[in-house]
Amino acid sequence: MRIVHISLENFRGYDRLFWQPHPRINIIAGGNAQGKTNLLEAIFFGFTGRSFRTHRDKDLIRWGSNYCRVEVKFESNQQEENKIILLTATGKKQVKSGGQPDEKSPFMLPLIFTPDHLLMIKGSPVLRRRWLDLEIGPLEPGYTFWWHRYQRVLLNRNKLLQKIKTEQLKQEELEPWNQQLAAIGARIIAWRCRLLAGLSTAVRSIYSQIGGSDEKAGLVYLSTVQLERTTGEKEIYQRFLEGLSRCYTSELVRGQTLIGPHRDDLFVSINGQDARRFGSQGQQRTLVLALKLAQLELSRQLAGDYPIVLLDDVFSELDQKRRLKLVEYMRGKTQVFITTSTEDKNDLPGPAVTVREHKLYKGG
Amino acid sequence: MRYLSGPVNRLIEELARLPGIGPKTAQRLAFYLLNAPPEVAHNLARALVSARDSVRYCSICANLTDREICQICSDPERDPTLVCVVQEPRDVVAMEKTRGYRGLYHVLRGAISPLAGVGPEDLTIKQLLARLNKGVIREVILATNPDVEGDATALYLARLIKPLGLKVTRIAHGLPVGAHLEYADEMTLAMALEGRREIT
Repeated sequence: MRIVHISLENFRGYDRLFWQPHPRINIIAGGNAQGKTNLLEAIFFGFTGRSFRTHRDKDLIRWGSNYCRVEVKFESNQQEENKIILLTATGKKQVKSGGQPDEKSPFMLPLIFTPDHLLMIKGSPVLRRRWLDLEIGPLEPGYTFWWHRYQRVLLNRNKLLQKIKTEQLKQEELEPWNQQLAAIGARIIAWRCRLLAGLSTAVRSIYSQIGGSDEKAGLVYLSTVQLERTTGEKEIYQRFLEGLSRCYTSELVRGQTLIGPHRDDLFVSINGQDARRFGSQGQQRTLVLALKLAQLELSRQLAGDYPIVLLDDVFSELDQKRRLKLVEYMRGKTQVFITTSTEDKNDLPGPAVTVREHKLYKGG
Repeated sequence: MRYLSGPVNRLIEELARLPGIGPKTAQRLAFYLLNAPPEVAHNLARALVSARDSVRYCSICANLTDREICQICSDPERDPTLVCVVQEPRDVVAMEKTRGYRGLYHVLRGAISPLAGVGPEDLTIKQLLARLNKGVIREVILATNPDVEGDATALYLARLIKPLGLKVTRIAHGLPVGAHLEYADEMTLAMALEGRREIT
């Protein structure tokens, strides 16, 4: 997939912009607060109709204007399509798409890579779950729908647990919520396991390819539901229910649901050892790159084409060797947009544009 | 709003309390009522008062009615062995429009939702169980909404009703009639696939 051209009107700091990016690598250089990330945000918005940085659409409209408009012309599998998104200050959003793939399609989801991702191995499980739920899961149609539903069941169930404790309600009232939590939860866990199975082979080969070593990277789903190698939705459902009855007393004390996909984690390993605890900084960085590139491969496998890649300020966090490995891997596969504040132009592995006060200039 | 006299302001305030009506619409409605011939306002006022004072809940099915027992419950043509459980009176209206259903109803007046502070005791579940215990009803159709709260309510009811030895069914969800497969969204299609049944 690649963008042929993109045009912006009143988007963030940009009043007007028309840009035909390079079909392969685009380096977007510039100082702080000049509009580099806004440009990536505009691309993401052009495809998905939302921002990756804010939930408040209004923030996207340029100060003092009452609308913003993003038009993207893109090409995928030799087919060109036009997509226009119009957003007004009253909150109305209009999406006009020339052809079949609409905003919900996983095929339209650009792959985004920010410094937050670099904490994915080292950081808390929340980061790994967020990656699963917001980036990997949506590749499966229906995942996001059931994920939202799960959150709703979870909120209701937690509220009820607190009420049972304080108001002495009957335990029976929990039953319909247990059934729904287990049914939807089992579906989400089964999906995650299936997606991770596809990812883990890719992670292993990419890790040894860019790490240049014969260390073996591993990726395993770590569930709070005792799966014991079952991956079928029905068996997971049974085990989920058993787990819920086992931990009922402690759930009551805490007023919280203690097992389920909202508490699960990913176990990432190098030669079988926990990369989170024993991996070096360098190994952890390389693993993150491998995870993100495996995501790229999985997207192609499931959606039929490589997504566009947006690297937001990741370069400043990587050494020269890893930058090159990353760019080399993606070059020729898809179109890549990289923002960087690096002053040294010799570091830049491709043609560059410079952003200054929300205007684009050719050259580094 | 001190540009307008007291009674006009009060009218606007009262109208603005209604669901779906904001201050602007309330103002427009108020001015319309004041400019129209007096009968318009008088008729509306009378209709409001008589509806509010004469309408109550049916003592059998808890639907809105103006008598002790509603029209549907007292209709001898209806199949008394079949009862359809819905959340709101407006769901009865929707079902009736199908004209395909000839059984009775039971209106829960809500759905179980811990988040909204609605528990089973806030719904008309006790009345429903009393009805079922009379032994005339053979099948209960659970037609609560297919959202998280509606599903929880259906599951809760199914657990209570099944031990009574009655047939309990849940309405199907899936494709709208006359729809083309290619235009259905993935979720609807997946649901329809899960709820498929054998052709006999």
